[in-house]
Amino acid sequence: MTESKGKIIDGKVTQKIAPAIERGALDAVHAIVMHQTGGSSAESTLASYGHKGANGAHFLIDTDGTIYQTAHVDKRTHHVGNIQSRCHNLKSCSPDDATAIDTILHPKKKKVPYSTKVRQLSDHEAKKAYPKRYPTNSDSLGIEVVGSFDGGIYEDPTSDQADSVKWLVAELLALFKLTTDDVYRHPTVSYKHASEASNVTW
Amino acid sequence: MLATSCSPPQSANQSQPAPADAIHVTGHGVDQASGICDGFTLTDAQAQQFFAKATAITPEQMHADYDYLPCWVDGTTTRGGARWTWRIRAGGTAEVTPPGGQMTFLGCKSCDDLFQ
Repeated sequence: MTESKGKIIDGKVTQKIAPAIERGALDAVHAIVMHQTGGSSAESTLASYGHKGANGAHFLIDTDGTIYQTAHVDKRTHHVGNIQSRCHNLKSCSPDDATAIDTILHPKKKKVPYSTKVRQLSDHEAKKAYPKRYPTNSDSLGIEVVGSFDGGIYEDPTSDQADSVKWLVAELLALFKLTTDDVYRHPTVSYKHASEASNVTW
Repeated sequence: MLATSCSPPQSANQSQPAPADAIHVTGHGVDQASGICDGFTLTDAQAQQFFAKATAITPEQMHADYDYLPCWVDGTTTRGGARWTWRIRAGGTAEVTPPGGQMTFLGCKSCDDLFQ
């Protein structure tokens, strides 16, 4: 795998760049975030990526293992959302940081919408340097694996998808000089259903 | 504001599946303690307000446009003599299941007053 002007050059990757999901320059790649679409086909995801303001990730892996590049790897996309606090989850915050986070989670003003707390905590975390925080839209690539959410649980990836994930992640880790510690499942990073990508391995 | 997507934003074309009457909260809890919404509860009246405001969304929209928070309130309603179950989450989503039917999803972007 090689990269030229943000495009991956490899016979295993099909170009389906969707400009509508790109949000300016991605200056650094510190991590990869694994997603599942919630839908049952790549076609529906690709169709949605054509809509102005659509959200999406950099790669999409179809049920037959086909890998689509849907955004340049030097462009930011909105695929992560609000991030959780890594040190809070791991109980490793410094005393000052713990106090700052506690102020967000338990404000003196009694009535603060949860959505506001989530956003404030994410903004607080985003000011930290990776890997003291989880990856954000501004320093990570996203890989979407087609997978439905029938019955309230994400389906397992197909064997073809599993093979493609392993290949793509290995190639991207080498390209961006990352390690497997820099690959995350979406629910680890932000507020998503626990089963998303739970059976996607790399 | 950060945005997210694991999904294409799609139009939800399901009919409104929100329960319509006899709405009762039966319990509340958290998937795992996070501090972000622990203690979330709703009254029967608040749950009714949520269902009045919420709209049907696809699983893709729920994932793309909402935070799936770990705190929830469970409840039931009767509709046409049938007992529906539902779970409202503190991020403004709900999972609604009719008797013997498939789970559908609701979302509300103007319900912050209920989720605090």
